[in-house]
Amino acid sequence: MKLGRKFLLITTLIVSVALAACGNNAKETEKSSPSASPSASAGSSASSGAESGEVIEVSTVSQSDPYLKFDEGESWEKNSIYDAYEKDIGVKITNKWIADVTQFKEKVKITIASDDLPDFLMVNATQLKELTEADMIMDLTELYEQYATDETKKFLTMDGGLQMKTATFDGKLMGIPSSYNPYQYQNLYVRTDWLKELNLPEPKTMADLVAVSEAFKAKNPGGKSTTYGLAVSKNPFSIETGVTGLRAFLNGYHAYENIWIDDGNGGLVNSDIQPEVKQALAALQDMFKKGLIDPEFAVKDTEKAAELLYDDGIGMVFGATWTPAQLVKGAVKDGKIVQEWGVFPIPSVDGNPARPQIGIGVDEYYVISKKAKHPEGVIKLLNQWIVVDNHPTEDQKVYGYGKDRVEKGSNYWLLNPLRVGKQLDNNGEILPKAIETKDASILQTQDQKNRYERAMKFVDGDTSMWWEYLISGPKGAFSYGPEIQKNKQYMQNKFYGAPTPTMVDRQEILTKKRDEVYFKIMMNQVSVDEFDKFVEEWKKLGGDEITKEVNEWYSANK
Amino acid sequence: MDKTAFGRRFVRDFLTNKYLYAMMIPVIAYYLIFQYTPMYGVLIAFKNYVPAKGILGSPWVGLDHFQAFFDSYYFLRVLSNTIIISVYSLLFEFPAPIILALMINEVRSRRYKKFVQTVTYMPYFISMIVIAGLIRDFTDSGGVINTLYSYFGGDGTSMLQHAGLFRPIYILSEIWQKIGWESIIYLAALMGIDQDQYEAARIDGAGRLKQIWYVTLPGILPTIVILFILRVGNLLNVGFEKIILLYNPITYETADVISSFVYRKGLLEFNWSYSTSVGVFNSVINLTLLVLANWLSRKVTKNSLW
Repeated sequence: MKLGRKFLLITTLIVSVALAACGNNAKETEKSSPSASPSASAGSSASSGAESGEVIEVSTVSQSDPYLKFDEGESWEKNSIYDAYEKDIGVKITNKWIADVTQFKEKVKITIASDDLPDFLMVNATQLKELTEADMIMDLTELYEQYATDETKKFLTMDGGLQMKTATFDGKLMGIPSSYNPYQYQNLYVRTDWLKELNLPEPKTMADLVAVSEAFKAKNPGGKSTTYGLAVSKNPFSIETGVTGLRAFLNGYHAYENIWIDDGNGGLVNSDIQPEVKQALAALQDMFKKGLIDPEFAVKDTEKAAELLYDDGIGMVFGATWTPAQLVKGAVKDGKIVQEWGVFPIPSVDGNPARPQIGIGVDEYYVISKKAKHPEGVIKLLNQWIVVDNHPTEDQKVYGYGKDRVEKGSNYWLLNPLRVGKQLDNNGEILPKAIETKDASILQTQDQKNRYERAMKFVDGDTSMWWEYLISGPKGAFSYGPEIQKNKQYMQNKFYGAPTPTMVDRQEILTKKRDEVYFKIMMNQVSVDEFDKFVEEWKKLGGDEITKEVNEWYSANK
Repeated sequence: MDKTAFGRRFVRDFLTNKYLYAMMIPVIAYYLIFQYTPMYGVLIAFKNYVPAKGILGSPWVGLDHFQAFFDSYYFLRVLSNTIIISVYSLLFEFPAPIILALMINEVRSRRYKKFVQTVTYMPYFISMIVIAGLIRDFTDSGGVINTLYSYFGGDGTSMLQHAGLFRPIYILSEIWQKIGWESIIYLAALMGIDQDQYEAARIDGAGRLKQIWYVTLPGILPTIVILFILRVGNLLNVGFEKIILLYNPITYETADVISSFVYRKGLLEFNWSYSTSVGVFNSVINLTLLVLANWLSRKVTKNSLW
């Protein structure tokens, strides 16, 4: 009997482990095959609410943000911005769910896979295409025509209608582009105090860049034990790496990361396999060998890589116009400026200036579910956002700052559920001039006024606004824009259609293969000639197919 | 044994053990709701799943997705990586808790025993994200392991940047995380061994090693065999979480496994049907291996699951 009970215990334990182990399989299947049952309830959250004919309700999903600080007593459920939309345009906003930045994208995918869409939400280009093909989202052509104000229509076609075109399938408008200004260029950021200390010239060519980084490493003006020349993080070629990336480095060699460029015969070719890339990689390998690049960059994310910048270990980094907002963490300590940074255009390998690569200015779209009861409410939100973001009245400042209507760093604008940005701006022409001459009269947009105000605070001694001066001030990140713009000295992706069938199928493999080869060459694990093998393989693995499809699209859309 | 006899025995058994049966209800409910119900989703492996049409409404495509998987560029790589990692874990990770249990069993001091047990099964309760963070710190250039490793000729860079080190790191950390937890079953089995046998062995002049070899090990052999069979039945399941948290372009060639491939295909690229078919492929292989291992074990050791 005693033995029997023990045997029972052991068996129970074993069985429970066994079942747990077997369970893994089913769980995986469960993840990739979400049940379709919740579809029935999808529409219910958008309760009619129209009994009075005044307030309509639209549901969405939102991304929470650590920088969003709610006023006392406010929350995602109830806040002054949602109240303002309800009061001003009669649209009540509800959230089906809220997720933080790490979870949001995954949750959107699951929401799509389980056919549980809110009335409207933001999706990426691939999802837009998926959803259109799956017939889950609404054709907005007529809705937009009818409800969008003239201001809205003008606002979203500032770039000549390119961005709207990317959301149009067979003549049907399927999403509202979450637009931004694509004409923003990466720059090189260098420790100017170190340049001065070591008596070095400003880096104008890629050779200068290597010379400066060698000097920074050898003479070690930061006095640290760990020093490198150029800060790099683990996804250097990804568009999402705004600081510590290497796309701008490629651009310095007239090479570009995965965009479609002229082949010289009226067709398009992919930039990833061009010979210029090989040169750039050889240069990176050389820098790696000389110890100018952190040998551990492949396992460091941006924040970790940036620690070496904060810490006086590295004095040079490529980055987007907002890079100073990242650098400020190390540059200003206890209210004192301890590091001096300067902004420079991307150096070039030869006499031709480098052309920064840019996209179309839209990566994401707002789509409306086919089951939405009040799609017009979404367009009303759009109209209102454009009004309050660009020329708010005193009352409408609530949309930017909350009920107090004053800037207090709480980032209340994040609560606006549908946001589009300007497709063009003249910040680079206006701001540096205005700030240099302290002339507020030439400022045109709300954005410029905000930036001017912050830069002036810095001029008046508020060091916490150091970054804004480096972005908007004279010789700041914006200041090089107009010159590039005027000379059309940028490289814009010539393909802006929906992902082609082979792209959907193969792009991931190609990108992965590419990263593998690029990394190995950079880290000197294989010879740079491996690049030629990669080009052949790229073509065979579907690259040729994609090139064909892209060119078909190009000849139809030229 | 006719049906009525079974029925009567079941009723009697039910009445005597009614609390045990009651305790089973949540477990059975769990499996019905979370494991069996979603199983009909397996259908989408043979369909072109479109969310708006639902599982039943999506069009059939037969074995197209399987074909695409077998033909895919990375098929051989992910398959061999998966098998290698699995075999390694069978070789190194599987015996580890047995050895730990045997060692704990030999310890005389109860308090020390409890202490070791608690310490070894603690890591099991840490979330995978944190574990991955710990591993990254440990294997960093300034990390503990690297500092030691550099005395023996390591080059001192982060170990996660060496394709050749990915598998050892994966297996060793797996052992570190699970050894305590997995030893619990063996410890329970050890308690079931009749103490008289030890006494008899001692009288026959067996030392402690001999006692372990001739009494303890045979005593827990059935447990070992059954766990081994189950393990074989999971050969192709290498969890994707830890892999995707630890790999990078430099280690893809040794680290990319079927489950991380499925994750990328399914969730990152919306090929739900495709990734499900890979999952089905996995399960079929696993089930086959399980049946094989069970059959073999029944022939050889007379121990088996059924």
